[in-house]
Amino acid sequence: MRKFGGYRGRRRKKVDRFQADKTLVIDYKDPSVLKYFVTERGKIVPRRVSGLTAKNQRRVTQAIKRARMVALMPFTTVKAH
Amino acid sequence: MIATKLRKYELIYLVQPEATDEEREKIAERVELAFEKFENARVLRKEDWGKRKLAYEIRKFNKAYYQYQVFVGPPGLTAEIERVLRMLDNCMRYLTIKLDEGLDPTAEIIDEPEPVRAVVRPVVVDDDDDDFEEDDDA
Repeated sequence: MRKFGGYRGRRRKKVDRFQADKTLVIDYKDPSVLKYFVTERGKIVPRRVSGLTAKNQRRVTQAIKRARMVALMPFTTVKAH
Repeated sequence: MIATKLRKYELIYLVQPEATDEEREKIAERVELAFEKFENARVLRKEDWGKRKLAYEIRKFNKAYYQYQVFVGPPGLTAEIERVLRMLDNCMRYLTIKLDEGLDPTAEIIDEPEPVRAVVRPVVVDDDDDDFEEDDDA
């Protein structure tokens, strides 16, 4: 909950999943890891939300873009009706 | 004379789902032919990921055969491989990624094992076109 006054905007410290779990590897061939960093529509989640370090965010972004090239991940998921 | 340093790459290419085994074999052969044109070029590892569901439609298809390989070769090899794949109509997509460079051709080049992944999965899907749900287990 956001408090007014005082400790304005203090939030839970976000953790980088890849720092926390060293067995997790950023790899464009493994969409099961990357899917945590895209929205349901397929957009890449920004760093302020994902909580990744700048370095890992760049790696994830690169990996997602590569995965999209070979149709392992969607560019977008607009459902055709 | 100093031998050309080698580079290590990985390649993924997608073959259209209606291709026969012979047609897929043909593509693999054509790719291998490219290796013969370059000194020290060789495949370290090959994986057949089978027919997988695509994240989006390509050429009106929802599935494709995924072929993956790790290889080393001198500069210029990937350009040749990509040229070959571009000519083959059954090949829908290809992606080459450079893994390493400046490798000494006289040294033994070892293909490091894959890092441990959360899920290792060449997902094989059957031929009907119903929607395929992915496992959501972390």
